[in-house]
Amino acid sequence: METLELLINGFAVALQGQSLLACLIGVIGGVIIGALPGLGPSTGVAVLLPLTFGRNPTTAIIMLAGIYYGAMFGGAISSILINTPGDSAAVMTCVDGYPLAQQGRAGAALGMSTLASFTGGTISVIIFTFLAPKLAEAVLWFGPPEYFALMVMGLSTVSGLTGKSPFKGMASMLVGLALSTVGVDLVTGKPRFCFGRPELFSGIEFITVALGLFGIAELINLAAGESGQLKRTEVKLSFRNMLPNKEDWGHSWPHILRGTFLGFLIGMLPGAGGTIASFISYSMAKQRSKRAELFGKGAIEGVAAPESANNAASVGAFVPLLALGVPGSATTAVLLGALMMFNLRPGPLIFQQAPEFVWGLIASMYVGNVMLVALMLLFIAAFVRVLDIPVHLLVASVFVLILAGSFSLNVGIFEVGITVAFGAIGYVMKRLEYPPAPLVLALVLGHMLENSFRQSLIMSRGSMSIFFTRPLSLILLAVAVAAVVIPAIRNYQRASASRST
Amino acid sequence: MKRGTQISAVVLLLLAIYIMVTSIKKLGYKLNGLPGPGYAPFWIAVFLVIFALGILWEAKRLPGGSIFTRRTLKMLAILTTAGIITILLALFLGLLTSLALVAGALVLLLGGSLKQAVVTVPTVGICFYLLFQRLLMVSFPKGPFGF
Repeated sequence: METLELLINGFAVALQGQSLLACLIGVIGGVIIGALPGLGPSTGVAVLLPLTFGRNPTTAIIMLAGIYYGAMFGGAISSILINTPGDSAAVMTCVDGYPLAQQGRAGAALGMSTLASFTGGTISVIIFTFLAPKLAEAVLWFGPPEYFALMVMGLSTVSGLTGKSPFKGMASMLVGLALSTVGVDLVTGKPRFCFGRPELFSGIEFITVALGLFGIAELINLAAGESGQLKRTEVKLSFRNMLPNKEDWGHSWPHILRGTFLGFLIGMLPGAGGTIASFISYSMAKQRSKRAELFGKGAIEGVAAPESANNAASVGAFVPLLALGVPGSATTAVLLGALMMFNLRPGPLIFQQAPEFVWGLIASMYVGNVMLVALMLLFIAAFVRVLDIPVHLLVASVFVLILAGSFSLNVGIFEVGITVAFGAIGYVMKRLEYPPAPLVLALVLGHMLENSFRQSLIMSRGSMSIFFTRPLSLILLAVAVAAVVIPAIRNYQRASASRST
Repeated sequence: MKRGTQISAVVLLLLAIYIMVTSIKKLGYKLNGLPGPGYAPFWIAVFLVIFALGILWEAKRLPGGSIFTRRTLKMLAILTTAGIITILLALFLGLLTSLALVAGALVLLLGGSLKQAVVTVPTVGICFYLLFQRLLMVSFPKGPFGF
């Protein structure tokens, strides 16, 4: 009952003119960014974050969250029309979405992806509404050792599960942690790795790094991959031909519901996220469908299942972010950094300390989902036009927007240099298959991790045993080790098997 | 891929050794029996050494061949140079002018027409002026033209 009252108060915030406008800008920006191949939600949130500087924190985060789930909706557009996913979470949508477009059913595919995304997103927000506060209450007793162990687990699962090699994921994360130590040590006041540059005394801002790794690196990739204009399937889109028929619904609804619950659960796990959720949801739909032979050739439920799952996962990812203060993905890591920039510290206490913000954000997700379904069904033809923008114009304009955004952060050219450097590093990392998400996540969490570690050692008078004698801390650290060791062993076994054959 | 991964692992090893040496020699590993400013960086570097060695070991079974094609290398060079030129030009012409000129040049270099490049320069200048300087109140470094 209390939750409902708080949610109603949240709606009072989310339905204010300023919040509605922020949500609308966020979801439109998200759909556009999601529709552009290569530019995913993490890039979108990072690139547009500087535009929220100086704004009210609640409206700023409402806008950024709108970009996140808007991009999940938009990712399907390019998957269906040009067989190129807008982001990795939309990869599975290509498999049946593009064949449907070639059969002249692009409208139905886009309509089903929109409605499946809406269902997945909305049901997940309802679960989130009741689950997140309970989880926050349950972890209120966490002390520094448990927080340290939780962050280590979050970092190692993201590093171990993202990318092809757990070693590269861990190395990326450790470089992020090393970067987080740059700046004046808050306990002793001693500068660390500053090379005499006063700009580095306050540390390296995560957003300057994220803009380079997610923004510039993706632009280089986009420019290198495509020349001229993206070639899309010519389609006539109207409200009427986007509405799936009764038969489509009959085939899809069980997969939408399964995808929703699956996606939400997977979204809550660090390192998993929308991509894995959509893969699992698609393969389960294929296994359980009565017409499995149609999968890959244009089964409408092959679009519905991954789309409901990736949207549900994007909402699920907010649970650890808000309730525990530990993000589990690249986008939520950027969002955590954004929250901290606005002096909001996510974690169990945020539900008590900033209820207006938390419930305003949750209510805005309901509003945003309704906005998205209306926008997609009514203005899909306009969003599809985004794919007609020539790549060179897109790359040039987003590139200078990133540089201007980086400058705006601290009003300094030094930050622009860091962004450019990390753009080049990020692209090399991409080519060498080092995942950038663990680096950004570690950079965001690094300070908190070190503080929790030091506080724990002060509690134990310098003894490391504190991490192993408290049961929850021990379990979390064991999971952290397993998250790296198990994928490494699997990789080794796979390599041995391929050598022997 | 194999050579690139091996080089990256060696770079990580060198970075880790630098961090370790600096942590112990310059920052201080312990302070009054508790972790000092060099404690965390030291252990981060130790783990980095372990995983860099893991990458080296893993690299043995990677396929050969370059990680770059001519086109990817060209795009990397164009965008990185564009970033550096933006910074240098901003010192003389102001950031707004610098961003607008670089945007125009990028359109040309990435395969756009001269007409598109010429239209891009004032469009970026005006849009960024309105967005950053008017709406977001960010003060960009000014050039000889007063903006």
